[in-house]
Amino acid sequence: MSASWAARARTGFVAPVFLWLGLTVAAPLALVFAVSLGESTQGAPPFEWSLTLSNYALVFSDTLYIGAFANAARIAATSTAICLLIGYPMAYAIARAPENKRGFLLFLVILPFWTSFLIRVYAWMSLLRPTGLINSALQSVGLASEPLELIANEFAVHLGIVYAYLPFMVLPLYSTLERIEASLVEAAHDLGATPARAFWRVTFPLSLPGVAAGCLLVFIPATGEFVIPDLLGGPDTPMIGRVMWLEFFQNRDWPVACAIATLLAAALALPIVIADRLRAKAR
Amino acid sequence: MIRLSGVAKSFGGAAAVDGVDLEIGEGEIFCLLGPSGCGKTTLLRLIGGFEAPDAGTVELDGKDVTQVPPWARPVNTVFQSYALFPHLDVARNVRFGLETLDMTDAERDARVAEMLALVKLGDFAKRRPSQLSGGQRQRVAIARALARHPRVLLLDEPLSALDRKLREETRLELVELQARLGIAFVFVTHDQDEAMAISDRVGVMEKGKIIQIATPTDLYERPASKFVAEFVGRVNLIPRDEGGWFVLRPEKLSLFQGPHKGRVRECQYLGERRLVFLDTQFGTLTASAAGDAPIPANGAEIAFGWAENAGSVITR
Amino acid sequence: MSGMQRGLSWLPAALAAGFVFLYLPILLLILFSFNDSRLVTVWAGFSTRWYAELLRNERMIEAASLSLGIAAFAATIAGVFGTLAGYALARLGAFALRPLFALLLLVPMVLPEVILGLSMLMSFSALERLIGWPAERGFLVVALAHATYGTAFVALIVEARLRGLDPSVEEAALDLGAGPLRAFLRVTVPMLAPAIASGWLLAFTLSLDDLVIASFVAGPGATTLPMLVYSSVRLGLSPQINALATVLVISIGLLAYVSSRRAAPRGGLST
Repeated sequence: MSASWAARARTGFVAPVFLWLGLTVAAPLALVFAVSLGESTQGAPPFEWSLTLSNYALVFSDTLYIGAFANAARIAATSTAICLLIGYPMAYAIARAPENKRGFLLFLVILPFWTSFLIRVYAWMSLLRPTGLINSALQSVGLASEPLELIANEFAVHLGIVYAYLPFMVLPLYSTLERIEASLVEAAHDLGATPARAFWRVTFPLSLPGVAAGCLLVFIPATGEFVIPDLLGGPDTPMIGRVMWLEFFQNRDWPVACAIATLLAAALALPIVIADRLRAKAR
Repeated sequence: MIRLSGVAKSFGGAAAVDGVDLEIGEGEIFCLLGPSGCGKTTLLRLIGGFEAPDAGTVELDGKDVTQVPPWARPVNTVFQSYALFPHLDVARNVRFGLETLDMTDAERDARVAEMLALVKLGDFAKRRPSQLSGGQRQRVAIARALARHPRVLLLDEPLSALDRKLREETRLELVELQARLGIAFVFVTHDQDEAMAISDRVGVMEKGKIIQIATPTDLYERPASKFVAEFVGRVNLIPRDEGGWFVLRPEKLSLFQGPHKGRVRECQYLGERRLVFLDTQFGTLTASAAGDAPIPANGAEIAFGWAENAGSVITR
Repeated sequence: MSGMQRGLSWLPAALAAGFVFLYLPILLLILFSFNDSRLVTVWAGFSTRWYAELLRNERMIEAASLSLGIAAFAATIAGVFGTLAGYALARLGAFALRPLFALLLLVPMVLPEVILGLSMLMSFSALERLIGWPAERGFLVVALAHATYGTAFVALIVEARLRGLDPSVEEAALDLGAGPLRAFLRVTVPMLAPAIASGWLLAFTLSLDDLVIASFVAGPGATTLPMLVYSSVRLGLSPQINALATVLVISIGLLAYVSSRRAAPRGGLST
């Protein structure tokens, strides 16, 4: 549609949204970058505009920050792998379920996503605590003499991430698996492939776009996660999302918090772009 | 009535319509015929106002409407998918186009009733589109498009979604409807039978250009090019020494008599007719004989020929 | 894919185990909300005392009503802009700066919440310095921040739904004398109503659920429900939180169920 009326209509619809997105997304992110070049002060707000790179220098010179970036990436990556191992069979099972049951099974996967994130993390706190359900159960059947340390460590963070983000893995996997024709697998069997070979040579390669999308949808938010490391994690392995939070709320150092945010956004830019390409391709 | 001059439209560098000149008269059934991707639907959309041409002008009743949006053109469209509003019942679908016209509510109600009677759907006014059959949906689409009393009705593959029996019935009804209303119908199809059966004139399109505009008879008897000859009906193209081809329709090829000899490759029985495929010096030729004519045996060598005025000559 | 295929009979068991993993913690949480003991882990008989205490907890009630108001307001703004944005992406083709447009819609969905929260606080703080508003960061500020977040999700749902709808239905409206705005309001929006409703609901729940963004932007006077839950959870477990969690899980679960029913495409609409 290149007609002049169409162009006018297009402007009429797009301009208000562009204005809204510019004010609420683009401008705030630009401000984060701008503040990251500022200097911390005692005032309110606690910074002054400047053009210094000293906040970035600080982040790069302090092993606390660098280590927190590395921890976040590592924990997000291993949690993503665990999500894939649990989520793939679930997605595959739903894709192969009778057609009239798939909707309900899918709903069961999505439902936890609708229920409060905080409450889901809280649920694990009450299970994992030294006096929590798991420990009391283990002790009462004599499997443990004293409470196991299940919380305030990396194990609990992994568990929390896998639990919270599993639906993000299952959904894209399901949508690619569901589109693979059953006759392809049957053809592979017909041509002499064992079930394992048919899976690895036909189904799995065809599901790779879903694998990639699911992994990115878990990895990206997990990297910047704050609530899970804060409530389930321990002091040994700080993650960058929580470090940034503390920098902001405890140290009140806005410029450093903004520098961390800028670096985190930059680090996630590539996975985000890949995820977007996959999404565009999927339709 | 409708005049297109030098109309061109491309999408992302690919020309969909490439310099089309076309005039369609008052009260005519005109058909744009061509294979998919030839630009016929784009041409229809240019007349409807959904696309603006990159070059050229569109005139309706002598007025240049090239930049006039669809809602202000005295033209209405029956979409291929019918495009009924799923959230409105049949009567409200038909009424939709009347709400922006200067009429009283009573006049609108009367017009809706009149249109539904015209397409014999008076009893279905309160149904939702999802509760109708394919044929009924098409009638609603036609009633809705006619309600605004357009000067021209555009129909995009109007019969393609119907099954074969319904399609033939609907052809008849469309022609009757057009005769009653007297307005021009412009429709698009890839089905040559359909185009031949109901059109006053047919424009054959290939790669964005109209390569021949003719009555169905002329199109069949005197195709302008190899493409048209092959697209419209079955054809034998016999190369000529002086270049070009002699266009010989299968029913014009006579078996068992004539100066040439050919070997029978295969016979296919089609009921009222029988197709005989002959291996000849001109390649494989097809003859169409009456269903009850004598059957040559496969592999037999028989004579064949044609009258000098049995076909036409094309050069491209 | 249907039909029996060999060697994969363990799949339903894996699915069941996955569901146990997803639901058991929540079910235990609900169970212990009816426990007649302050200890969250020892069963001491059935009781609804924590629900009664929850109802008497004024700070909790206040925070809940603030959060519900914010969520409704934010979801409504998100519904308007998200619908327009989804329409632009699905229907308006290659308009100027479209890649930037799509990027600005993607960013709030994928960037970590800590970055979004920080960025919004930065802009509200800058605005305050510039024009003196918002001097107190309360209801409106949190709602606007949440609306930003919700817009992207509504747009995603609306765009997906529009791509499944035949565009010629909207062209038919133009053909029948309606201008673009009239066609949008009379045809596009009613056809999209189920998608807009589920987008609204998603934006509503996301707002109701959000801790991180609200913590950044809210001033000292405004404490949303998740902020209150978070601070009390940090102090230790409390059966009241279990009771609150039960109320939230069940009401939101019901809403989600209703919306998934309504959003399911009805037969024959787009043919």
